[in-house]
Amino acid sequence: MTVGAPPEESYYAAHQKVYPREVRGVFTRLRITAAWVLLGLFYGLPWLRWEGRQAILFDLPARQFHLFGLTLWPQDFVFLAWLLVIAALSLFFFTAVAGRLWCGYACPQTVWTEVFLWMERVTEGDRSRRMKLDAAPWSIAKLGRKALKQILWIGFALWTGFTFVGFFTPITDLASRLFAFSASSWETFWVLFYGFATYGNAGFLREQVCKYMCPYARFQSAMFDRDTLIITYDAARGEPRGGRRKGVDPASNGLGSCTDCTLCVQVCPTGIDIRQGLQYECIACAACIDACDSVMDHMGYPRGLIRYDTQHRLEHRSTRILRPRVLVYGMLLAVLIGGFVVALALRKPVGLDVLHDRNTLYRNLPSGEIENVYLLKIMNKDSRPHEFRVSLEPEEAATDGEGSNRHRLDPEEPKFLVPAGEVFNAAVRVRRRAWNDAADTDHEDSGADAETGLGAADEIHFVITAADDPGLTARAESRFFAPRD
Amino acid sequence: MDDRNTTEIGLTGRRTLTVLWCAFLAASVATMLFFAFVDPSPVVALLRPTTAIPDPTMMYSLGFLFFFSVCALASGLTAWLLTP
Repeated sequence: MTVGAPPEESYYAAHQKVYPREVRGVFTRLRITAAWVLLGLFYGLPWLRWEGRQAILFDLPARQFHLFGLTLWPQDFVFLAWLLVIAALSLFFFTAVAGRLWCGYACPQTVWTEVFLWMERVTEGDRSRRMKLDAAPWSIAKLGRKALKQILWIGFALWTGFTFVGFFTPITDLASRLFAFSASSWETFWVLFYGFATYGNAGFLREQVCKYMCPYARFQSAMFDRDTLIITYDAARGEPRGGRRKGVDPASNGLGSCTDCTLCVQVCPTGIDIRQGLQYECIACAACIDACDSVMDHMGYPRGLIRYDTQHRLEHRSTRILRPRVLVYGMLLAVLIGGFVVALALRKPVGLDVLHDRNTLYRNLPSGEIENVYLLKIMNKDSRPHEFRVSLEPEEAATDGEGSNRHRLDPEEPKFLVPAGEVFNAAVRVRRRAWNDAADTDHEDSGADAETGLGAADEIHFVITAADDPGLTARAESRFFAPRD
Repeated sequence: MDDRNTTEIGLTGRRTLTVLWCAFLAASVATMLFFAFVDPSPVVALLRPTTAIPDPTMMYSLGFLFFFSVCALASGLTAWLLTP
């Protein structure tokens, strides 16, 4: 790590624009495939429909997250947090086993930079042409190529911003509104914000994000050990490096296998020399492996002078995949994923909140009864509508001989039809006879208050049950207020 | 425009972008946590008759920008005070 090594000013001054060279090979193909899959998911998923609505939609105004058939509510926030913990731990696990796989193949920074580099190659040509073009004085041709690149970049960045907002606003509506220039100012703002962020990160900053801004790049070494798969240069085989003609046996010249062609440096998107050993700038994209293998093939030497390997193997010692570190990460990950699946399966798709009426604590009815009014918030998180029956849970001290409950609902069994994925506000009335009228006098005197003249507040429990599925129930507690006798 | 210079962001630029980026990360987490527990729609309903608050999207956006600016202030001050 370079922290504090050279003075910062000179450290910066050494920064040169990196012109990554195009490379072909196994790992490049793998990287391009990964980029296609990930970008396809990002740009395609918002357009996918599921049961008449957008399959993946983080509907902020309605406060619902739709993930195919699953609807998550703010109350289910723990699932989202849980998922983030799983994602972080997976990153640790894969880093411990195989190094910076994430950086090389899956990180959005890498993936979008690849696309922007590709657009640069299409408009400005390969590495040497790009360098020549940048060094050349301004001309119509240079202006044309640069302008075309910018148009491609800006267009792609805006499309990215639009897609991102499409995860939060129904994307088909958003598209028609944007094309009619009638999108709300905030939607436009976020499209531009994310478009700008994409352009800045993938077109302008590129490897500097990984070098200077990425926290993972700084702490990943904590997950590394000498059995972690890294991209390494086999110095024992390669050195001493030097130029030679094709087909020459390196041993006869007193040389190693490295021809010092510097292709591995030229293809590197972060502009480092892998032959200097493991460096924190290395994003493990394996471009240097592909470059070096092609040279080895050309020279007639065996491949793998630069390869995926572990420190232990390079030192000719045995390497183990199953190590305490990997086992601990793996076990934690398995427990978390298992728990997540179980919790999600056991999640009740119905919720109930009870609010006591704020304006009136109680009302004395002409019949001598006392009435309290409650607002029930019935949440139907299921994907189909349900009719819910409201009832009161039987009370323990029910000895007045007139039914099991001292409190009763009015009407006796209110029913409410709640559409799928909605919160239904229902007002219900609960009544009971006044204290002096009641048969039992040993009532719970929990909230008696001499000043307000307020008597006891009894605990009551509301229960809702789906008419079509008795297993679908929820329970909530509230209080019944009555005057002091 | 010399393209060589456009990609070199300089120490000040690097510091600014790092501050903004860290603030963005922290603000995203704060926004998520805050709005998981606070529903802005009653506020919207309260303000709607008097002011031009169009939708909850604005509340979420303003919430994020608020956290973003506070976090940027904190990390900006930190970066500034730690400058040798």
